[in-house]
Amino acid sequence: MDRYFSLLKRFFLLSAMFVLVAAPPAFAKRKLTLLLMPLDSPSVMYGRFLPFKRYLETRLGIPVELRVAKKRSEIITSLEKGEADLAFLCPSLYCQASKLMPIVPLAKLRVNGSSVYRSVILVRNDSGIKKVSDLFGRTFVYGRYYCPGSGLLPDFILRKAGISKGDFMDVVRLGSDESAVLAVMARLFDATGVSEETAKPYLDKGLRVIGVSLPISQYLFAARGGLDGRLLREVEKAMLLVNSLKNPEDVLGGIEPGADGLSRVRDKDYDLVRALLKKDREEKGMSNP
Amino acid sequence: MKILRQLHERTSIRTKGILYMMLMISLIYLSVSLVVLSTARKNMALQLRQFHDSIAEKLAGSASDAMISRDYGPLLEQVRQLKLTSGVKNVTAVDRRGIIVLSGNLREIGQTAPDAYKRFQATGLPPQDDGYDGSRIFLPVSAGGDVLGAIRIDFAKRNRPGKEFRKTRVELVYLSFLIFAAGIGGSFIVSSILAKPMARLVKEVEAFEKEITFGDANLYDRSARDESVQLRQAFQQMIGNLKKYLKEFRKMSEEKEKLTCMAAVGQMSAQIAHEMRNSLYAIRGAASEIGKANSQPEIKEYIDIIKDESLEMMIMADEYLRFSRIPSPMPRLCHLKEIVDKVAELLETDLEEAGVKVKSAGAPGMQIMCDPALLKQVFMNLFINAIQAMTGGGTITVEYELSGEWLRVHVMDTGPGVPEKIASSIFQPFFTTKNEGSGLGLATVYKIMLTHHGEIRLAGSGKGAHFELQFPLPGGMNSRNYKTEGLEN
Repeated sequence: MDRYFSLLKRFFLLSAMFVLVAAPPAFAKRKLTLLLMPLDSPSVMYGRFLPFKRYLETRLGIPVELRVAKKRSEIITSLEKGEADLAFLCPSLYCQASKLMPIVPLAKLRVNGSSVYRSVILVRNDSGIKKVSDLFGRTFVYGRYYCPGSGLLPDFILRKAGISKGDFMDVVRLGSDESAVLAVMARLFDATGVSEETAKPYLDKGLRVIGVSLPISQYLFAARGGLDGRLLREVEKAMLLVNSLKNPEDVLGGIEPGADGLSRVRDKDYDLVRALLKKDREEKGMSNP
Repeated sequence: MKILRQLHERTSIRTKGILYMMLMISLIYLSVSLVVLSTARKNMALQLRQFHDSIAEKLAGSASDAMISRDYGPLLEQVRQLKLTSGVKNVTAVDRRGIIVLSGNLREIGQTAPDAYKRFQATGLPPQDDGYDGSRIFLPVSAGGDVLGAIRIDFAKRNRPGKEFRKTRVELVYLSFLIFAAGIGGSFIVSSILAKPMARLVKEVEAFEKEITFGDANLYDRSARDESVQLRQAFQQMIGNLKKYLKEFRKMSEEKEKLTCMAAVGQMSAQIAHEMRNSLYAIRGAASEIGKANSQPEIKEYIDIIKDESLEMMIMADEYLRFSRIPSPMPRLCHLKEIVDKVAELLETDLEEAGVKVKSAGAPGMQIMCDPALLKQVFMNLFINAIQAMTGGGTITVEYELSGEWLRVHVMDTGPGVPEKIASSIFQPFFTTKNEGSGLGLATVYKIMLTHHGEIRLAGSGKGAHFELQFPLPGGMNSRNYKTEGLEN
């Protein structure tokens, strides 16, 4: 009998080993879906992320599908429903999503060697406006307002100087940060607020900075909470390994001009953004985002 | 001009045909190419204008949206795309304030626009006639008839022709190779077909010429390659040969006529001489018998006169008989100078008595086909006439000369010469100026020369008589290829 038990034990052990060896890895999904924010037209966005998609496919060995969301809210719902596995998010959208659902930050963008960015308030050189508080009673133009660099952070600077939107003679939101900068250059508005990187090319073309915000963490890649843990680690590892490439700019340069790497990210890196959002909501008299 | 003419003559009709046809094809090709290229260039310019207009229309629409919404970002992005794809160099937009609101040169944005824009705003007239000068379009930005501003689009100037134009040019080059290859082949075939009948005609004329000259045709200058020139020369040559043969034929006819005439005269005179001789024999016999029967001195004297006169008449009758019986020549190669020298030797005594010297100068090897016995008689008669003419002595000079296909012998004396009025009659039978003589000496010479296909003529009669005798050179020879040494053997 002992012998039979011994044989039976051996049989079960071998069967268990066979199942462990022969079964596919738990993260071996048929494909991953990477959802992108609608920062530009779908075709442009697709083109900008295509090198990164190919890089991930090579690293992970599974296909990665690129999708461009029609609007910001679609990203949160798609992640929530499991229709998308990964997403490229701006800091404020990440904060909003993290409040509503389990979401895992994977890696944040590094632009010109920095994983944080600031916003600035721009005016024309010949405008006569010396400081932010001089904007009282003037006109102001926003670019892509829903992004922190063009909305949240400029508002923070204005608020810090004691100016609210109601203090402006005219406030307008345009489709892009570049549109906002051009509008100031063309004397259509007195000032705008954009990220420091966006402002840089125009600083020697007749614009100057009159206010700077605190730095916040860059845009990031995040995954939906329900994704397999091993796969999450593999994706995170693959993303961080982009820095080991000889020219990471070839993969990331399309995402953002100057993007040269991806950095490890923690959820608390965006606590400042959360605080600013909270403050913003409080000012607007909103209790929930 | 001369070189051109020579070149023209030395080029065959086929080659000229190819050259002329190629020249014509080249001219046609060049004309067509010019038209095609000109049309292509015009079409390119038109297409470019249409292309620029379409871009301008789009940009004006976008600029209108941008001016209304004050959002120039999409317009700038559009300009960037057009710069990459459509050769747009720069776009400058000015709003109704007269401020530059968009420019490829970002520093210009926010600056006051140049006067041209202001003028445009004031008058609605663009700086150029129709707002387009090939590389720049200036047009208004409006919405619902309200002018919002103006836009100027600068296009990159095309220093190089357009792609389509270059393609057309390359196609024309390929076409030229094809045309030239086909042209050369085609013109070669056509020229050959056209020149063939003429070349054949030239060959036929040459063959005919060889036939009529018994293969001895002295053909025309072969340097001419032009078949028409060859044909002309061949015809000229043929005409020349025909003239020559007609002349010879005429001469031979005259010779034959003269020989016939002389034969007739000789036959008649021979008959008369024969009859006369028989009668003279009878008269002489009868006179002898009368002399035997009568011893009276007077009668004997008359009988002697009868005998002497009848003897003279018999001698004359013998001469007539000899003239009529000149035998046909038995020609063989003879040294002419030897014959002349032999005659001088035979007449040595007479020459000495008359005080006449003979000078015979010339190549000893000169040979002709002749009957030496008959020629001896020719020179004998000429020398005797000269001796008789030079009563006070003198010189007979004999000279030899090669001329063409003839050997000429000049016999000149230093006598009184032949009076001009009788010069044309001296070779006629029975013509004489001497008291004694039959008048058959020079006629015999003339007849012998004719039987040798030669000629004799009185070449000069002023200072002494000058006879020129002309003998044909042995078969097919002329003064160039006449080898005296070679004929000696």
